[in-house]
Amino acid sequence: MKIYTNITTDYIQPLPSNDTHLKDGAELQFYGRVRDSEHGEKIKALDYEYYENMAELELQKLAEITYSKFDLNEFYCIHRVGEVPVGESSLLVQVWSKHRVNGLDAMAWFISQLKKYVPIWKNAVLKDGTIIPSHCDHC
Amino acid sequence: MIKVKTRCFSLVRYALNTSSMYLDLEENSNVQHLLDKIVSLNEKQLLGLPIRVAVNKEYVDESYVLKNNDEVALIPPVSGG
Repeated sequence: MKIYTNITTDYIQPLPSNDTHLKDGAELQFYGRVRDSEHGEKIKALDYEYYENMAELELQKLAEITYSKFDLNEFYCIHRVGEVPVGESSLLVQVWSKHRVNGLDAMAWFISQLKKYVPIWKNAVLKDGTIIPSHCDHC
Repeated sequence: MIKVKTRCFSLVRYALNTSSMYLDLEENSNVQHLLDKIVSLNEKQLLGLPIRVAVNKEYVDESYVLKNNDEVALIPPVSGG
């Protein structure tokens, strides 16, 4: 099982191109990035709060379910926490699968589940430095 | 009596103005009893808020019976990604 998950406060580095997946016809990469506004207000960053240790466990558990459910050949996910400035990436998910449908479905399903079960919360950092909870109205 | 450590996140943390607290509960108290006690601390902001609970980092339901020294996380709707 090739699964890698991590939660970090570090900048998310893009993964280098990988031409060694000879059995995979699909490689998908998703970056979740911080927009410059939340609920109509301009922000300078999102401050991600998380439940240490449990968030890592839930992320790994979800990755394993996704890997099996969609018959993936490799799965990679890194979630950044702490303050993430506008424009930077808070989430990187990369999957490899034999057929594209598996990869596309896996990506959509994994992210929707992450937004339901992994104990991570975003708080908007307004231009004046005020921090307020920010909730996803469309998830 | 038992004592549990309660971890508060996001909207719960804002409502209670703390990220953790210790609570004394009757023996055989379950998660629903704890939630009732928590909500009574700030009904205005917590009544009606969906709060999931994890005990020792595993999601549990309201009937879960708490034990002395459990770590109980109060988890309002998450918003990662």
